Amino acid sequence: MNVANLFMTKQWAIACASLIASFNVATAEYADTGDAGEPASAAEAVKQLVDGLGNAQGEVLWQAFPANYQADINHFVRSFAGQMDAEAYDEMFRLLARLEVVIAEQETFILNSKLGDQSAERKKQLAELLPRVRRLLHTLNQSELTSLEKLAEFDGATVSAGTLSLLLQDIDALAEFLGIESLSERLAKVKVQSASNTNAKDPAGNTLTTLTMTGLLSDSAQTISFTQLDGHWLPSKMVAGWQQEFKNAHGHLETMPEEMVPLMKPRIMISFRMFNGLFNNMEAASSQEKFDKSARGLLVPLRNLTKVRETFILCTLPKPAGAAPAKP
Amino acid sequence: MRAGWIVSIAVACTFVGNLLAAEQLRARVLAKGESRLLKVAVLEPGGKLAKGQVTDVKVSYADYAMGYVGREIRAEASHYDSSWHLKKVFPLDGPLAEQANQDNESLNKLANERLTLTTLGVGDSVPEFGAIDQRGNYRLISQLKGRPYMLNFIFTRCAAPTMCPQSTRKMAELQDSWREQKAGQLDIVTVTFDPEYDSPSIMAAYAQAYKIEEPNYHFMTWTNEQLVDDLRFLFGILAMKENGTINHTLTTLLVDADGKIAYLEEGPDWSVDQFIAEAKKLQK
Repeated sequence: MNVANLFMTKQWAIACASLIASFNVATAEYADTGDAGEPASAAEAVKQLVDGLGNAQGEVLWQAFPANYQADINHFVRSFAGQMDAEAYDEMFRLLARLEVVIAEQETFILNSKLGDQSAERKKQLAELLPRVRRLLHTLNQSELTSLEKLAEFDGATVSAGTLSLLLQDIDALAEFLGIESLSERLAKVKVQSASNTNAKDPAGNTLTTLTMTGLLSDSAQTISFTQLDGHWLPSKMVAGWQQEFKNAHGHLETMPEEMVPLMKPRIMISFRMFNGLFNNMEAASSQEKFDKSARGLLVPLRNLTKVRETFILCTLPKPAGAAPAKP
Repeated sequence: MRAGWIVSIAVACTFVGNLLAAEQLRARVLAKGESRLLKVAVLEPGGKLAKGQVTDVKVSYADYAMGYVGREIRAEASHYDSSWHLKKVFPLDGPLAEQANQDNESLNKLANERLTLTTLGVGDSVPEFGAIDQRGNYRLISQLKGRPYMLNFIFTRCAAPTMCPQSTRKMAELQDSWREQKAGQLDIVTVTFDPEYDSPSIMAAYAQAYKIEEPNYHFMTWTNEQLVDDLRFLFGILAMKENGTINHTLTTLLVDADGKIAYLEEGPDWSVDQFIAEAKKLQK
């Protein structure tokens, strides 16, 4: 189905890489002992993380954080589970499960769709794409993320080692098929070098170092300052902003049920109901024409959801100075 | 004995049901009679009316007032009160009908090729399409080129006070306010989500109920759902049939004299004053 291709752009792959880069670029646990198999420097530790992600080892991302940071992440996700609207969240995963079924059961209609490019080459590509899309959906549908009940017991160690690793594999398989640069290809090009070794300290007494990274966000070299925290190397900007960012994030979570959910839920739920109706039609379709009509229709609620994302961004933007508070 | 009664009642119900059951037919309107009677020649049979049969049929006042004489129509036929009654009458030919059909096929092709996450927005041209207005005339949207117009989507059976009824009230208010301000030309185009029910005469009655002034207000319908499906798809409007109604989102657009979207608002809370201010900017 051509709709699936819409997401698989090069920009998307780069954005994915950027997300991971901005989210961590931290290091695996190591001691500066020079023992074989263990990173001897910040540069080696960062490279180990990049290579681990490139090899679809999601757990390296988790292990890159110190224990208190891991606790912050677990706490935040569990708080999210407590504040998020269960009806909307759970329905989203029910829809993904339905999509997996529709793709499995209506493969013939999907392959013979009259929408978009109908060349034999395209049909062949689509036949190869569908199992990969199904695998990605299956990973999500079997994950710990499928309900708020499960999310309330979120454990980053488990999710990163299991679901995240599988998703990294699935995404790579999709990118490979689509002929775009995959995350693993991108990460394989990343070069990390030590730019300074001044043994400088931050005000808290943590050791600082500077690394030059090439090939992650762009092909040009970027100089990034890292801070050693409890034996983990993390970007200094992340360390400096960690507590405040989490405080802000929790603040947004607290206002979510009263401010964001009422604003966004109607739009989300009408999209979800429309998805459900379209899936019903696709499952029951007795002709190619009927199937295509519903398949094309999937784009309408999808577009609507992209607007929800815009609303969400607006909601989470800091209020301008002097703006009236949302509630008295 | 009891079983006999049950069978008799069932037979009677079936008989009455058959009598009242509406079936679709195609016919050519030959002449207008008196008392809402049209003389038609049946082209495609419906109900007990046979192909080639010429008969009188009774229609609503609004359908009677349409210029359907000489034109082919599609309608639902029922027989009761000793006469045939037609409802949901749609003209199938007439000036611009062929062009409108061609334009709508092109629109469908355009929609099927536009498989992107973006909808038509400010700066985009409204694609060409044709429709049937509340006067029973085929119209092309390009006929409005050269003057700005408002565009929105409703359906006449909408029972949610803050959705279609409010939207139509605001359009009527906008029309009145615009006229009072003598601000220039501004047409209004309202397309139905529900072409299965909203025939030209239903839309004419709807316009009358809202005291909407013609001739610059165009309620548009079509002979099938394809047109509104394609327009909804291109403008990103959600609509689904649920529990006997149509649940939908609302988008209200202002289109400039060149046929490009100049301003739009989503949702039911759009402001008449805001649209008037935006429309004034378009006056040359």
